[in-house]
Amino acid sequence: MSAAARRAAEAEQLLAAVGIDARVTAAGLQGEVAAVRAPVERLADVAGQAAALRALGFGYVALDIGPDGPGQPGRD
Amino acid sequence: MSAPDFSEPRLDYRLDRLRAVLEECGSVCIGYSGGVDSVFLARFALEVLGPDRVLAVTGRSASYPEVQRRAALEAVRQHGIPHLEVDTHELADPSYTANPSNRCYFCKTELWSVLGPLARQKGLAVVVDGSNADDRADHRPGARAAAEAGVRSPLQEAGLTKADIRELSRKMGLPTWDAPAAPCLSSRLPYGVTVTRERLRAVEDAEDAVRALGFVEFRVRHHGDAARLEVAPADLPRAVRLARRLGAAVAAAGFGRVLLDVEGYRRGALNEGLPLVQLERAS
Repeated sequence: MSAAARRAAEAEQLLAAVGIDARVTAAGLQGEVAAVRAPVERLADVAGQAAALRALGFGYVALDIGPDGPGQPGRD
Repeated sequence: MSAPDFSEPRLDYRLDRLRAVLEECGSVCIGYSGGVDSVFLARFALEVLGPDRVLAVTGRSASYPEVQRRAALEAVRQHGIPHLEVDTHELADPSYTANPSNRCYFCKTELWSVLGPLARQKGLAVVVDGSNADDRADHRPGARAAAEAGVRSPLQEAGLTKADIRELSRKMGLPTWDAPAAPCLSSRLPYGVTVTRERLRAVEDAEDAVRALGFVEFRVRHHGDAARLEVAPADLPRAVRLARRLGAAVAAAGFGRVLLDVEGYRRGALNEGLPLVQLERAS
C-alpha cells in the first residue's frame, strides 16, 4: 500500500470514528488533497475534522462534488 | 464630482504626501491592473497632474483574467483616465513558466521592460506602480523587479495602507473600494507546476462558471486533474446548496475531479499544503 493510500485509509477510519461514513482518496499532484466522498450536507462535520486529517499528512481537505462524485446533495 | 471629504487627519497628511510625490514625478506612466490600488492611484494622479501627464497602462496576457480586464477598462472609462493596453509575454520566459516562488519577479520584469520604453516614447517622466505601505511587509518578489527598473511606488512612499486606499476610494466613489484582491491566474497553480496557457484557461473558465453562479470571493486551485474550489467561509452553506451545479460547471472547464474545500477561501492557501519541491515531475 502506498503512503498516500495508507493516509487515505487512516482518514476514513478517523471519520468513521466520529460517525461520518465516507470514502477518502488522495487527490492532486502529490496526493496532497484528502478528497472525501460523503454527502455534501456533511461538509461542516468534515470541516470539524480538518485539522486531524491534515495531521495525517494532507495539505487540504475537500468534498468531492464532481458530476460523478457521490457527494452530491439531493437538491440544488 | 464633488470634492471628497478627507477629514480624517492621518489620511489628510498621507494624501498630501501622495500629492507631493506625484508633483515631484511631474508625469507618470502607471502600471494599471484595475485593482483597488492602481485605480485609486490613476484617479488621484489624474486629479493632481491632469490628463496630459498621466497614462495608465495595462499589460495583457494569458495570466490576466478577462473579467479583471473588463473592470479595469470600465474604471478608466468612467473616470476619464488616459489608458493603453499592451501585450506582455511572460509566458515566453522559461523562468516564469517554471513557476518558482519568485515567479512575480519575472512577470514584473517583463511588464516594466515594456512600460519603460513606452513611457519614454510618450514623454512621461516616471513609471509608477500601485504598491502600498502594507506591501512592504509581504513577500513580494515583484518589488525587486520594480526597484531594478527604477519604478516608483507613490502610495508606498506616501505611507498609504490598503485600508487607507479603500477608505479614500470609497470617498471618491471609485467602484473598486471594496473589490476583493485579484491576483493573476498563475497564482492558482502550485509553485513548481509549469504555467501553460491551457492550465490558465481551465482555471479562468472554471472561475467564470463559479462567478456566474453568484460567488464573489473564491478561488479555483489547480491540482493537476483536480480543481479545488475555495469559497468564502460565509458562502459555504450556499456552496453546499449549489454543489451539483458547481461540480458540473467546474468539470466542464476541463477538470476530471471537482473538490470543494471544507474550510473555504484563505489567501495564499495554495502553497500552504505543499512542500517547496519540484512538483513539475509529477505534473
